[in-house]
Amino acid sequence: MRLTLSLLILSLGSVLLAQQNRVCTLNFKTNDDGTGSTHMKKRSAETPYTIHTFQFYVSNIQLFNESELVHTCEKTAFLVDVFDSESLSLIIEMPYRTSYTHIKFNIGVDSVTNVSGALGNDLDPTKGMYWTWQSGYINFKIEGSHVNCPSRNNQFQFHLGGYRHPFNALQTVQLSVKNSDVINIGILLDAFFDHIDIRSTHHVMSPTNISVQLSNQLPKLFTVL
Amino acid sequence: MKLKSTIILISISIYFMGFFTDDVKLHRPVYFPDFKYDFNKNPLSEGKIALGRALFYDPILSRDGTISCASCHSPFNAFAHTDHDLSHGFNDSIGTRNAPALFNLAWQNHFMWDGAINHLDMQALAPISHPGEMGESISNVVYKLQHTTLYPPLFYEAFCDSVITGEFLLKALSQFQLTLISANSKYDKMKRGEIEFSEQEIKGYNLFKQNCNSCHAEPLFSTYDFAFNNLPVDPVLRDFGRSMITHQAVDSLLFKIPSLRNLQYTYPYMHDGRFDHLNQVLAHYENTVVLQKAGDKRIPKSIHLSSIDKIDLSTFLLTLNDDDFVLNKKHQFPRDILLSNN
Repeated sequence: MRLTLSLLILSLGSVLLAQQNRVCTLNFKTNDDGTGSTHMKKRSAETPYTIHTFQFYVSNIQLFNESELVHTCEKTAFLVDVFDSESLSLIIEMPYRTSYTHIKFNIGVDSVTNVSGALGNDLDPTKGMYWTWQSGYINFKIEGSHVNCPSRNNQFQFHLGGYRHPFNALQTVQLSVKNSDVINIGILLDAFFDHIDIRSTHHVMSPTNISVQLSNQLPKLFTVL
Repeated sequence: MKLKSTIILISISIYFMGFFTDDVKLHRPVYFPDFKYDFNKNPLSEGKIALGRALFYDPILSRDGTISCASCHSPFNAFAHTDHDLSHGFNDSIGTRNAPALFNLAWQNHFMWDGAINHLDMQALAPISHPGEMGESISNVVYKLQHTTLYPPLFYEAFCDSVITGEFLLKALSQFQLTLISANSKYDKMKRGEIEFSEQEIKGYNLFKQNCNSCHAEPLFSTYDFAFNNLPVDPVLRDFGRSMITHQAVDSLLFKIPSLRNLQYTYPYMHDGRFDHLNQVLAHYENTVVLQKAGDKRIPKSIHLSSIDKIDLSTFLLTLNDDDFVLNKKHQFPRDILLSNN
């Protein structure tokens, strides 16, 4: 009898606990028709470029209700790989009844994380998002080819990053969102190429002025769908 | 009921005792400054240190299995690379600098001659990935280690996880290197009041304090800052040091100040190993006036030393050699692990 009662209390407790959390899924999409990212691997009449690598860090996700900060995501950094569909959905758990009007997140890894030594999971240096000859995370990596790129095989490589003044490349994105459990964020890749003269700038792989200039354009790539 | 709780309490205590006995605390001599390394993020344990030591000596870290960390950082040379002005690596490639000695790393925040690396944990990534050093990638090293019979159990013992990650690999390498503490030279024994310096050593010590201590500050014998030391640029190497990392003109020709500890073992000297002998180094600092860079106040225009002064200074500098460190068996090739049947 006592055992049954305890079990009942336990199960009731877990049901109550489960209700304490609200789960919001942040989906990154490369276009809004639901076909995902595969089109980027093939050059078409509309897109003069093809992409074979496209990864970036999303860090310090915060939810706001008007100007009030209502939730900061526990996981500090997510590595989004456009060609790995699982990585495109970020799960954010927050207290039940949290409601929000805005979302804010960084593209890249902040300076404190950059000087914190070896880190695991998405920040493990085996993920290919860490410079080896000089310490620092690559915030945003995109590689492929573009018809107007004068390099060998029209290839371009952009590894954007840098955490130290004056080459701090970290960017903040702030978007108005509906108070729903799914937030779809589109990545407007055309906008990236709109801001580059690919004929002269096609290889950026160190934390310099150009890395910062190109990084400054990154918030324009993200929009709520 | 009472018995039950006592048993539970005892089991919990035993469980945690197991944890705590695994903890290793590094000894910091009282006259040394505080550690720079944050041990809270990577608490030392015997298992992790042993794993790091095996990795340090294992050429599996290189692309073709020929180069280990110890290839350029030999324990018998205070973990420096002697006999070569420029260190060499994978496929007989010659580098652009002389591999620095490794000791007292827990007191340093920046690594490499140009400070390119901001944390000891991340340092190993550079030689592993450099095409002229180990020519490998960290992800492939992890893959190779995972497919040995030797390493998954060692990682399990160290991190309670036999799935090897880059984080574990780098942290283990840090742990072994953090134990490389050099603090038992004649100078250290004098500091601790165990012995007294000879008259000549005292004279040399005073000359050191007047002329060298601003950059090679006691007791680590380096501020581990970056300094311009008036060396002309090698026309082939064209190495501008720190500015190649920061892209700031003010950092041009700044190099990390090396410690003078163990200097007898760490020749040749300077970032490109251009001087074979200590007297060449002293001669260089005697003749700095022509190449003095404006704005650097640390280096006296030139250091005037009589020939007797030079002998006295050298006598003092030799008190910085730490034989116990260089011959410490705990730092050497781990035969029991790497020469086992695995």
